[in-house]
Amino acid sequence: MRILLSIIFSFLTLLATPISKDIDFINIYKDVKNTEKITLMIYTTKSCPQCAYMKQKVFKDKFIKNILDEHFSILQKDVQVDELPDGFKYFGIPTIFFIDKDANKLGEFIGSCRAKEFSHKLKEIIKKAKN
Amino acid sequence: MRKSILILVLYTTLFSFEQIHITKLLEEDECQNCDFREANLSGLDLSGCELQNSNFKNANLSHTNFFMADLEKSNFENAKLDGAVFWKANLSGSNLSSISAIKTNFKGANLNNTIIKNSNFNSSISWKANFKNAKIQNTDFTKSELGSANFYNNDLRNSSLNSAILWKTIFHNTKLTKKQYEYINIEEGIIK
Repeated sequence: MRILLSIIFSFLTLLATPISKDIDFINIYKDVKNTEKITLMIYTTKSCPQCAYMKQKVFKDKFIKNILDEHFSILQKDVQVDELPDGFKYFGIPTIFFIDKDANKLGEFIGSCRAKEFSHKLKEIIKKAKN
Repeated sequence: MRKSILILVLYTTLFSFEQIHITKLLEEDECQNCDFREANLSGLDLSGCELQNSNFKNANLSHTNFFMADLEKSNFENAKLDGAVFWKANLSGSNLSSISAIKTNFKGANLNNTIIKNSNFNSSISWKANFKNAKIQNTDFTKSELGSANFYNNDLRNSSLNSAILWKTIFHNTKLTKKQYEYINIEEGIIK
């Protein structure tokens, strides 16, 4: 089973394209108001309760929503449906990647947490993006 | 002197694991009805292994990967499971008493009909885990992520759910304290 999964994963990796050529990523920065924003790319599936919690509860928390609206653009990738960009491997879902406009990975977050903890992560990423 | 050595050998034989079982497990990815008492299996990748009816009493299983392993009716009494992964594992009918399962991943695990007494599940990640008919007593679920987990026919009154994520967690026919009941409602859990 592990060998089969490794073969499938290796095959999918060969097919992957870099994030800088990902059409959804490109479209985010086509919009002028997003030029200074950080892309928050979340890997998810329809049947992932942790993903639903992050999207429906944490991202919609009033304080988090304000930070997201001001500093981030959200990009969702369904790991069972969408083509995943090269260089953004994951072990479990949800996995959240933070990417700047030049396609540099600023950080990642695996799993779920409460809004307060997530706000610390967001602030850390904003600080990193400014440096 | 010889008597002491004999007693020591007998003691070791009676209360610790069988090396032959560990060898079998590592070579064949399966070992049913096996004896792993006191064994140190920490950090091993045992994903998908067939380990039904095995005995892990007092074993060190911290950071061991049991992804999709079948551990039905196994004994984990007093074992150390901190940081281990039981994602989608089958633990039904197992004894999880007096275990330490801090930050352990039980996502989607089958914990039906388990015995969970005097255990520490602090900060465990147990989304969508199934606790149907589990006999839960005096267990600490503080800061656990129990979203979408399913509790059915349980008594949680002397266990702690403090600061646990209970978003869409189902509590069906489960005995709760008034304080737990109020907390579940705040957390958007579902009480049936």
